[in-house]
Order: sequence, then C-alpha cells, then structure tokens
Amino acid sequence: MTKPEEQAKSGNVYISDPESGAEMVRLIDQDRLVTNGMGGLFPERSNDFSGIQRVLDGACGPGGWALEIAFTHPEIEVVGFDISQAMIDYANAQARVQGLENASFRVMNLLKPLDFPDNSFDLTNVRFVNFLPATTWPQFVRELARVTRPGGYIRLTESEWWYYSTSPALETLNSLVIKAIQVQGGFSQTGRFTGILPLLGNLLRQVGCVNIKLVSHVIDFSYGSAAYEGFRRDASVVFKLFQPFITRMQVATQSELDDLYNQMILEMLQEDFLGLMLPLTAVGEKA
Amino acid sequence: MQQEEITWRELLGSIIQDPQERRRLANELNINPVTLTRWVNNESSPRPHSIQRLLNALPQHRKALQDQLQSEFGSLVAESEDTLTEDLQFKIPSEFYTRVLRTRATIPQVLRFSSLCDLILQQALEQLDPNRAGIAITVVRCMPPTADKKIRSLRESLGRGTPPWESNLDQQAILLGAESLAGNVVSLGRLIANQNLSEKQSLSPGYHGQYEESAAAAPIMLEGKVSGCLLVSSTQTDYFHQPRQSLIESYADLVALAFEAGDFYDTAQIELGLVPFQDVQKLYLSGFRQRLSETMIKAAKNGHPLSIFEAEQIVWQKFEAELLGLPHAKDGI
Repeated sequence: MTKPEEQAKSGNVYISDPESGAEMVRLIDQDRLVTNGMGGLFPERSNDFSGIQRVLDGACGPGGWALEIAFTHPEIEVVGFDISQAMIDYANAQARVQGLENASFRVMNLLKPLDFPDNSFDLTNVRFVNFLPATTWPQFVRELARVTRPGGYIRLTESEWWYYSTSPALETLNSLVIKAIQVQGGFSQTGRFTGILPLLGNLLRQVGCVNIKLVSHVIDFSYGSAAYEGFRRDASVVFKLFQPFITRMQVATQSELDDLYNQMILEMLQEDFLGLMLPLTAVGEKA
Repeated sequence: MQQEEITWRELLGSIIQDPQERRRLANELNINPVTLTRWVNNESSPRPHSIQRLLNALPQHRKALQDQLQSEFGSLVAESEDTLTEDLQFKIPSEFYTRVLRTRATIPQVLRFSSLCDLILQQALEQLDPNRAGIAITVVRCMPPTADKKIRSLRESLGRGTPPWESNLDQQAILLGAESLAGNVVSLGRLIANQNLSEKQSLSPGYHGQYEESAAAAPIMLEGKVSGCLLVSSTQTDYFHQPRQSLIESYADLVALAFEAGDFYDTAQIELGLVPFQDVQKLYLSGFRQRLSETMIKAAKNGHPLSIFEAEQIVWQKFEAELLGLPHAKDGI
C-alpha cells in the first residue's frame, strides 16, 4: 500500500479513492455549489471572458468548471487535466454527450512538468488542492506560469478546510482533517489551519505575476439557505469518505469518528444551524 | 404539377415566426436569435454541431429537416455521422456504466443509495438536457408496506434539476399517489410519457408542477418487481420522443442498482391511495427536519442510533399515515 507521504508526493491530491465514484459525485456537486456560491466561473473579472481563447483547468477532477466554460463560451477552447484516469474518462464522456467539441481532458500530474508548450493558455486555473505538500506548490505554480501567455491570468482558489459553523462536531471533524493534512506535510504550522491562504498571493508574485488580486467569497450554507441541503449532503459524504485517511494518519480512532459523524449529522439538521464557507481566490497577470 | 418541396430554411422561417419558439431555439442552440434569421435569409449557414442541435431541438420536424440539410450539407449530416451522434446522445456511455458499477462495489453502505442515485442523476441531467432547456429528474421510491402489506404511496426521494429548477430538489420532496404519473407507472410497471401537461384530456395523470410542460417516468425494477420510478419533467412540450424515452428506461435500470433487494415489491402489492395536493402536503412537511432530528435523538437515547436514511423513512411513514388516514405507523424506535 502506498504510504501517505509517497501518495502526496506523487501528485495524487485525493484523500479518498477517486476511482470509487463516490468522491467523483461529491466533487461534481461541490463544484456546482462552490461555483454558484462564488458568483460564477470567473467572478474576479465579473465573469468577463473577453480576450480569452484557451483555458487550462489543472487538477480538474470530473471537469465541472471546465465543462461549464465550454458550454457557456463555445468560442473558447478548454483543456482540463487530472491525475485520475477515472475523472478524465468521466469528463471526456461528459464533453461527448453534451456535444462540447471545444472541451478536452487529459491525464497529467500537476507535480510533473506539464505537457503543454510555453505561453499556450490565456487563463490557467487550479482550485482546492490544499492537500498537496507545501514543498510542491512553488514548482507547480511555476509550471502554470510557464504555460500561461504573457498578459494571461493565473487563478488559484483555496479555502480553509472548510467549514465555519455552529456545529461542534463539524468543527472537530474539520480540525481532525487539518491535523491529518499537517501530518501528511501541509503548510500548517500548528494543525489549526491548513495555512495556505496567506501564501496564495505570494506564490503568484514569485512567478512574476503582476496586478495580483485577492478576492474572498462568502457562501452561506446555514439552515434554510439555498446552499444548505447541498452542503449538508457534502458533509455527510466527505466525513464518511475521509475517515480512512484520518485514521491512517493516526489523529483519531474509528470509534471517535463514528460518534462525531453521527453527532454532526444531528447538529446540521437543527433549525439554528449556521455555517459559512470562505473561499479565497488569488488571481494575477503574467508579466 | 408536382408541388415544390419546402427548403429547410423556409421551414425554419415558418417555425421562428413564433417569437417564443425563436427564443427557445436560440436558447437550445446556444446562439443569438439573429443567427437563426440569418440562416433563414441564407446569409449564413449553421456549423456541424449546430445542425445536430437544430435537429434535436425540433424532433417533430426532424425527418423533413434532415433530408433538406443532407442535400445542402452532405457529409456534415451523413447517416453514419448522425447514427454516431444519436448513439452518443441517447445511449449511456460505457465509461459511465463502469463508474456506477465500480462505485457500487466500493461505497460504504450508508452512502450507497444517495451517492449512487446522485451519480446517476448528474449524468442523466447532462445527457437528457444537453442544451439546458430545463429538466428535473427525481428518484421516486415506494413507501414501505403498511400493516396490510400494501404499498399505499410513493415518495420523492432524491431530485436534481437544471434551471429554472433548483439543482437540488431534495427539499421539495412530497408523497405521490394513484393520481400521479409516477403512481401510474409504478402500478403498471411500464414507462409512460405525458407530452403535454397543459392539455386537460392528457393521456396520463401527472402533477403539473412549476415549470413542468411534459413528463415521463420509467419504473425501477428487479426480477419483475418494482421499487419506484425515475420521473423526468421538462419545460418543453413534446420533449420525450422515443430515443429519450429509451434513455430514461436505461437510467431507471441503472438506478435499480442503488436499491436493496428488499426494496422491490410485487406489483400485486401496489395499491396506491390518493394523496393530498402539494400545497396541503407542504403544510404537513414544514416541520420535517425538526421531526427528523427528534426521531434521531430519541433513537440515540434509547441506545439504537439510526442513520439519517432510516430516520427519514420513519418520519415519512408518519406523514403517510397522517395524510392517508392510515393507522398510525409504529415509530420503530
């Protein structure tokens, strides 16, 4: 079996098995929830895609963000890549059944040199890869910069992992995942936060980006909100699927996780449940 | 004298005289309405993928359009190409079957029903509504048998939609009975399509819900027994032509994999009652979440914790008993 640190260094950003399908459907739902919650596909530019002809979506999972661009902008060519063959097969099948001739997907490792020429995209996008070891980030952001044309955009979106809420069980489960990520080699110094958010802008600066903007988004998934049901479901899936990862990192026992999971389900059903997700996007222009 | 054949441009011109239809077509083809006018006036011609979308958007004129387009664009709408496109559009990709089976083999039991249904519905949404004209898909399942071992109602269990519907329809769930299209399908064990829900004398009863102009449902079956149906609603009339009906049946067969063997019932057991209208049900269902959490807390205190799925089933049984005037269901705790 692959050791956790080897898995992380291999570029596999998945905490649960991406080939299983359960993680895939969770990502499809999450993608839609987050894109809607953030206000669209490129809200930092008021969803304006003028001047953009080729888009790259790195670690694209089942391809939701890329497929949405391909559908809404038939004139734009969209390429996605991911380390999971299953995710890429799914994304390509989606493009086919929807007749999206301007979308294509390839298996590729974000942590290896990308198989694209220099300056070949107008916009490169990566989001929610905070499981990757801290040491790998400068290298892959450099690769994103290499394949982005001068004047093109590099867009990184991350979130603290990932709920702020009134549910103590949810908060505890959150902290266990962060601790597990820390054990795996994340940015966190203390195990309290993933630690990636303050670094996003600087990562772009280091690869020569200018006009860097940091834009925070607020997604309310409190009881009764439009996003509530989707996030409640996401929590019920993610904290089940990630249990093997947490126990493998030895930050909690299975019995502790079972109790917390049941408690979280109950607490999120309460009418006074409140929750926020606060994703942060850093976007910069390649000089 | 032989009557001169109408060209596809003339046919399209007559169709888009109706401003609503012009808007609908432009939406379905994802083009500016002016582009349609340019095609009609022979100022420009559609690209290959627009030709396919045009054919799909006008199923009632498909044959006539196809012949005409074929003579003008030749290989772009060649039969082999069309068959291939039709295969892609109305057959579930093999990659997807692999994905569903793999998921079923590996998923934790507690997530099996919801994650498998979700996976299948997401795919079905994309394939049944590639142009995003608006559809809603719901997995409708039989309520457990009542004391007399009969199935008296169905419940909407998990739903997904494209605009104007919300993407997640789970909170809109209600019970359905003999008066509904779903009820009819489950009772008869075969697909039924209602192509125009606005017609008073429609062939099959169905809820004419918000945005819904046509609907089709296919039974979810195993070994001749039924567990519910896959209910699909569209914002368009006449949306469910034969290839789409077959596709819905294929998706219903896939959804069957999400159910347990014990969830399937002999059709002789299906004796659905009439359930109250949606508005009445909504009043009852307003306290659903509260009752759900109370049920789970009570069960946990008694040392028999329930999964959310089990708790939901119990609360729905109580609603069913109240709505149909059945003897009060045991709380099962």
